[in-house]
Amino acid sequence: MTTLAEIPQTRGSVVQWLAPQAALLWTIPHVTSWMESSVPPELPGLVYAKLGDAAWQRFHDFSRWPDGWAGPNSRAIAWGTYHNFGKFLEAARFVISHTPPSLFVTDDGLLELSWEARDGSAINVTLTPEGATYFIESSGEEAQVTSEGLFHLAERCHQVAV
Amino acid sequence: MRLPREEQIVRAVCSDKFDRTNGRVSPSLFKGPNTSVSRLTIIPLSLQWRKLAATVQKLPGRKLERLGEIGVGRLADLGHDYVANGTPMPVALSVVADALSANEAHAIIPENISAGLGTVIVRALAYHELPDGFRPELVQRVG
Repeated sequence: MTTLAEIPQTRGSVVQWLAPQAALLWTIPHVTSWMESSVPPELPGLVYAKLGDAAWQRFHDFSRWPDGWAGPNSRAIAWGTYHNFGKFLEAARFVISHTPPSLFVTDDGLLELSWEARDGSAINVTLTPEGATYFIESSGEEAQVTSEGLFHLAERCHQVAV
Repeated sequence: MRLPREEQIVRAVCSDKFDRTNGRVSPSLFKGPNTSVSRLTIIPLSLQWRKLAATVQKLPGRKLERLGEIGVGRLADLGHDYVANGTPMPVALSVVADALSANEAHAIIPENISAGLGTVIVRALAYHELPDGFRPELVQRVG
């Protein structure tokens, strides 16, 4: 059985936060045994490496919630949302001195990341099956990007945050 | 029926919208149209916990964590004064009574709320933590 204790501690390493590819060399065994089959197998490890154990645990919970989890109009997380979440995380760089981003799920099954720039202003990215919507408080930007624009969005968020 | 500015409302904050480890509340707690809230004039705060836990915890994994309180007038002011990137973007926010069989104090904010305005509202809420001894996971679900 997979437990949190088996997971390597990556958050303590500056190198892994700033160069997270190194953190992807390990995997969580048998991860699909407790997750919906639509979760890409590499995604839980990526979540842990980039966001830490609290977000990993939340991701674990959210990925098991079916349609209707918050009422008749609420939805489970779609495959496309997982795909774009992984794509964004692969490109994202978060600063170790800041509190790691928080992971939320919206009622319609979208995955939402929320964190702060150095000046305390909010950065909010919501991954959708089509790409992402985002809000950068310091500039007042509130817009959306397609899946192809996620890399640039991740870079933009990093530039705003540091 | 539109609620008067003097009324206080609460929004249930469940585990999907609250990261206790990092202390953040999701801006999407107030996002989009028809946001559900509950009226303190109909059900006092001390009794809201059990009522809301019974209606929002649809799954064992989704737990009521806190209540966020705000006045109807304060909410309207936040919408009226909202500025995005230096540009006034006023939104005429209102709260409309919408009693349900499962919660007679239920009301909705019908207007569409953007992520930016949602962020402002979430910051303005007064948060109430779970009362001592109250275990929302033991409340029987209704609705």
